[in-house]
Amino acid sequence: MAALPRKLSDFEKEAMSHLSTLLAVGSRLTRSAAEAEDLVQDTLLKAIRAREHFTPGSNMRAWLLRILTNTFINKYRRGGLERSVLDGPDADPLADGWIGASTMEAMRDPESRAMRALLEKEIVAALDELPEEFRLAVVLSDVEELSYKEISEIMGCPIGTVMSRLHRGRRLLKGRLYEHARTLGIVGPEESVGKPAERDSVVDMQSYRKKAVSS
Amino acid sequence: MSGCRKVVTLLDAYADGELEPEHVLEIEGHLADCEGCSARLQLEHATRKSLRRQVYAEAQPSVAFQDRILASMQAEAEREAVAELDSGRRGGALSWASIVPLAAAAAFALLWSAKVDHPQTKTRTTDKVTASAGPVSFEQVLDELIDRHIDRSSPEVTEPALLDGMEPQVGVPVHFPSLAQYGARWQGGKVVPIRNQRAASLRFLVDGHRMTVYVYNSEHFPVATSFKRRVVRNEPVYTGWKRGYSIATTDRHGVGYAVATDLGEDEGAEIVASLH
Repeated sequence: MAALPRKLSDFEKEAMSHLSTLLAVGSRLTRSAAEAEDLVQDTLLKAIRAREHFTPGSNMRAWLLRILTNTFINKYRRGGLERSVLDGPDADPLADGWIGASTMEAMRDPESRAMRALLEKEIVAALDELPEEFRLAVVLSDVEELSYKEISEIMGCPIGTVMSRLHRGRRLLKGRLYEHARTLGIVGPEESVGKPAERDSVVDMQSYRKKAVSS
Repeated sequence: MSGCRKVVTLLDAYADGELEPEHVLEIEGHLADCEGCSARLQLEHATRKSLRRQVYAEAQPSVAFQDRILASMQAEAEREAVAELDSGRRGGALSWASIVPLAAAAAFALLWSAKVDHPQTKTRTTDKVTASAGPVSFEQVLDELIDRHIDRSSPEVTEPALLDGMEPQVGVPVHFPSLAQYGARWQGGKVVPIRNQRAASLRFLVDGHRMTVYVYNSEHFPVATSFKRRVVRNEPVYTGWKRGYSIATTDRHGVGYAVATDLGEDEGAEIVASLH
């Protein structure tokens, strides 16, 4: 009694065109290829069942990403996204002016206008180390280039919260990359200026926690 | 460098294209003069470019995954078609119910038996090999059994005595199986569509593992040729694995039974054999 192969509906076709996006965002949310595939499959089936709630002509990618996020939260995180543990005041090596312009220049590749190849290889690992709510905000904004408003709808939080998650997420991410750049010898300690005492305590969460406890 | 502090707080929104126009001029003026803030913005753009590239490079949908998604869409469309058919039938029964409440149950049963009988008569009179719908592959049935097993939607029937009411939909007798000896806790049951046919799905919990017992008309489904044949309690049982779930099936007098669980092959075989 198997049904004959059938043509995809317009809705299904449009949804399928976002498969890469869903898998890319899902992979960073779950940090697991297998879980991401399950998540995307659940997301698309939910979208098909809820297709009457989708307004044709509106942004299907943002709509699908909202379903993906909610599905992830319901399936893996009953209490909402993993919260940030970073509550104390945190120094920002790049914004506080103790990393010089030349160090920041050295982290980039002038030709590709991207990060240096060695750093670029580390970027997904660095991203995956961020707490979920920062990681998702950064992916939706920096990778998917959605607006603050769209991100606030997907994450179910005010725009101000989106902005602070983005700010802190990006800062942590760049702090991580700066650490890698130092480890790889792309930038040397002599290139940074000032505040050497704080330099080691800024970027990773362990240090943040320790710092918050000791201060 | 005096304005750097303020610029840094606005730089994110500027790079995101979400800054109010009056601040844009201010920032651009500062960027033209300040090497540090300009380098910061360049690094911001570089980070995003690398992120986009790498996040997509690490998660390309494989062909197998695309096939899996298309297959699940196909299965969903089939389920919807069956559900639509059901609601049409039910609509008829409901309008009857509003006129002659006492006759409603009988009318409903009649509609169902008409629906169940029809494809059967067809199969009986048609040569099975040349049936136009084409053969159902056992793999497809397996996938649906597992999809249905994973599905967390709530049961329709929780009272064991009411399971008999599934008979007209499933087309074979459905009785509550006593699995207490295996420590199985009853969760509830519902009728589910499997490859356009209906099966009773009975949900249990065994040692904290979920287990689904299916009861169906075995005439509708192919035999588990790719599975291991074994004999449990003098009955032939077919067992195998798919997607991390063990499936055990057996057939008795035209009634098919299948057990889907992540418990294990032996446990599934033992339970399915006990259903006789």
